[in-house]
Amino acid sequence: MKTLWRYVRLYGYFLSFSFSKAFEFRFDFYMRIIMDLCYYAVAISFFRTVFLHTTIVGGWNESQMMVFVSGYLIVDAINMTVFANNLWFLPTIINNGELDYYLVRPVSSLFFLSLREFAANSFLNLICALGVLAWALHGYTPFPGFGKVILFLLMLLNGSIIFFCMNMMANTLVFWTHSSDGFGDLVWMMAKLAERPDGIFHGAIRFVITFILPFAIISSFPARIIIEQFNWGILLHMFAMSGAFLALLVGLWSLALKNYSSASS
Amino acid sequence: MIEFAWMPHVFSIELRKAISYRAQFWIRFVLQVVTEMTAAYFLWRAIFDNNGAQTLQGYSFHGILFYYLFSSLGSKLIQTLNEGIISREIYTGTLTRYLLYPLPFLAYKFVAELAKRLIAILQLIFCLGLAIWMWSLPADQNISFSSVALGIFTASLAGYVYFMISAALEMVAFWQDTVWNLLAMVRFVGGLLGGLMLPIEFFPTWGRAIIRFTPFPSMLSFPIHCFLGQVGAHEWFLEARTLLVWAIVTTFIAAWVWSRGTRRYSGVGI
Repeated sequence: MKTLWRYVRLYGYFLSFSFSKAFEFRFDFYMRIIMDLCYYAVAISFFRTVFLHTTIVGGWNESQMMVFVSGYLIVDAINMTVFANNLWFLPTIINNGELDYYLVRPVSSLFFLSLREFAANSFLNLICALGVLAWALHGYTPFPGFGKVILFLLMLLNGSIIFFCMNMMANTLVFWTHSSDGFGDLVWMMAKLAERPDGIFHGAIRFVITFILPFAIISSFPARIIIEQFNWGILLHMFAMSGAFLALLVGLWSLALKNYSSASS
Repeated sequence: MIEFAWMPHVFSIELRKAISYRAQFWIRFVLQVVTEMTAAYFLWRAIFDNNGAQTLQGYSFHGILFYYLFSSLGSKLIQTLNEGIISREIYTGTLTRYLLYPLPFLAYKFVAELAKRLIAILQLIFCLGLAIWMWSLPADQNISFSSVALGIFTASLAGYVYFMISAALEMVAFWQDTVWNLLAMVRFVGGLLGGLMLPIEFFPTWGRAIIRFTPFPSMLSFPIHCFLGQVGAHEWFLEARTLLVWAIVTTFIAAWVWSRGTRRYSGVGI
């Protein structure tokens, strides 16, 4: 309990530093908000244009699709706010030996490197993404009920953790490859699969993206909770995946640290 | 007297740099194409199946797959691949060395960019061959050797315009602390308005009328239509003229930003 409280306090300091830093870089602060709003507008416009030519995509109509879109925008906002800034610089930190300074601190290096930077500007976008959800639910009849909406949000948080784990594991490969960019961008690239409803995928691809690289479950499964009848299977699948990926990440990270030999690695 | 002898050297060095991390380079390429094609295949399969239609806005399912193939691979000839490098040089102060070299900075960076685009052309030809072998050519499009050659030429011209836009935005780094979000914004908005996410024929008429005022349809959608053999000679000259105007305008803007920025540059970044 004492350890947990120490980590909570530490995260409080991270937040405080991150907000001070965000207000130092005003241009970046405002431009990042505008950039994310552009991303949201593009995502919504894309599906609205698609629905000019069809009534159903992957079993969902337009208002159901908007709930799904709001879901993946929330997952994106959580990742941009909580994790993204930390992961972008990880390959550089590993390659130039700066990781040494994190390893000697009396705190989990995985915790520190994953959460030290909180993007205050993207936090405002998280609020905007929740606004998109409110708009999507406003056009959705019948209203699914607050219980389902809260469960939907919890599952999106779970989806964000799955996405973070895949992204962090891809970046951890830098310990072996020593490349300058890492592999994190590959995960972002493949995240396009999370931006499509899982109902459109069939066959072997569906198996791969729901069990092995579970992009399809990140925001589609939470949307199913709102759109379809409650299903324990979906809930268990998601939480089992996040548990498995967290365990894999911790294992890979400790293996990677054994392989690390400072700047020469 | 303009000196060109440096160009092959820079091109050669950049080419070697581009393929120095071979495994990562090819993994990234294959994953990108496979992901984009998988997302497009299943999305449009679902739409066509739901409508029970043979064609939508002039595209068969087979034709639209080739549209996305050219969208994914053709955009690599257009969108700047060395994005973020100019602003990084400004922030770290390494830009200083270019000010000492007896060669124009933007030309140097464009030649460096061309090296990566040469690889993108080879990738496009390889993937197109593979797609034709797997799916055969779509009957509703006029893809031919000459349409692909015209597509590559047009995409290269469009790539120059895109490079100048990116360079001008990156050089905002002379004044501001971060500019990557400006580049990302152009990518997001350009992806939709330029028809990379879906053909602009699917946009409502009023939407198409508005986006004509942006450089995106000429820069991104038009080369894809050239690849598909949808463009006649007259239409090509009209669009190429528009691209040329954008090329002149963006070159002037980038040169102006460069000239103002270097006056402000202190040699140790901002």
